[in-house]
Amino acid sequence: MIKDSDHSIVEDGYVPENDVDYDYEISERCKKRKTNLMKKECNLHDPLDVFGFDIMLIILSHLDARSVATALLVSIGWRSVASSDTIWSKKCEELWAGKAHLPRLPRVEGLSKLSAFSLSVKDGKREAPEYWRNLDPFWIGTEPSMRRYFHQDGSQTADPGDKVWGGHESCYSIVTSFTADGKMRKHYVRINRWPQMSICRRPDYGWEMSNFLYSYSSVPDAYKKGGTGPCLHVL
Amino acid sequence: MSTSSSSSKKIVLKSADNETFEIDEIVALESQAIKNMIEDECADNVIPLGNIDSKTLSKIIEYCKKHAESPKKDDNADIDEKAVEDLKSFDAEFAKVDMPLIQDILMAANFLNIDNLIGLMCRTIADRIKGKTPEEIRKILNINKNDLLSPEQEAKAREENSWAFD
Repeated sequence: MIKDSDHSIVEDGYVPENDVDYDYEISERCKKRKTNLMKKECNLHDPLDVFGFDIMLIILSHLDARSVATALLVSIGWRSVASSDTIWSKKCEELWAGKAHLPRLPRVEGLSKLSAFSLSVKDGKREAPEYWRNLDPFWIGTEPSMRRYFHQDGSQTADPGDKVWGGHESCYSIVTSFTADGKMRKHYVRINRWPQMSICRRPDYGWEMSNFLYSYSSVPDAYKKGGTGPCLHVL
Repeated sequence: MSTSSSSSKKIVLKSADNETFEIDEIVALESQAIKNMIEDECADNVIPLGNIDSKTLSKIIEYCKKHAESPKKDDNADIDEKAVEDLKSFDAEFAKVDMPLIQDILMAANFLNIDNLIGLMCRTIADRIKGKTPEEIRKILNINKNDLLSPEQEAKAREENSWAFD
């Protein structure tokens, strides 16, 4: 009988309850930091697992393009959210707003918006073609800067040996025009002057562009040797 | 201050750990889910929220109280800017909690359907991972390591989007 009653006391949980209190006190007083840390590890979950695709999409939509791209690398699951067109079509719109030139490739339909964004950024960083970069040797540091001389009589010359000028005869004039209310519309130096050209259509559907000095015309047979080649589709 | 008076209808919410919270009905109506329950008249005096603990629930109520007190945008075209600023700084202070609690709040806000609070918590999580490396993000959010990209997949993603990683 006595043994049984002893046992029942244990079963009532008096001793274990004491244990719990003790543990609690220790964690409160001494291990507060550690328990917080442990708690974090237990309660913290991948938001994609807990909240699913749609909420994850809202979270990532608040990020800048660079941070969304970083999210691609977090995990396979995150990559599928971070590459979604929902996010990147908005980023493309922001990127393309107010741009003077947009490459055609990224706007091809069927391409993912992430690829479109990446291609656009790459195109925007493309350097000028070599011909342009080498136009003035001064730019690449191999020669001193080129000089042009504007003379009182309206002629313009360059230093001897200047390859770009090439010894051609040049003249210059200063062009200024005004709008009706007296404001200056344009004001610049014009080098040389080419008599205005007029364009007309020929009976064979070809084009002619001419002034009293020169006449340019389209090539009748585009495919013949030295011809202009196939027509480009003009949008 | 408050649009509700002491005589207004009260709602009692009960948390998972059996703590009860008595609040004005107008505060509870910030939750679309509770609003639907009340409108469909399937809410008793006490609404049990078996998946929200008292710590999270008291934060949620704090948020709903503040937002219920503030003038709504569609009520009045010219709400004074001070009220908007006040609400903004309240939200900023409200979000200064640790990540597990943010997740608990988001979970509860999602369950209770409180749009503004879902938005605020999503924004907060985004702010915590902004500008961090993938490894830092994994640490901050305790991402499952069984789902990582292979070195080849990672190299491909880095190459295709090299503008983001230089």
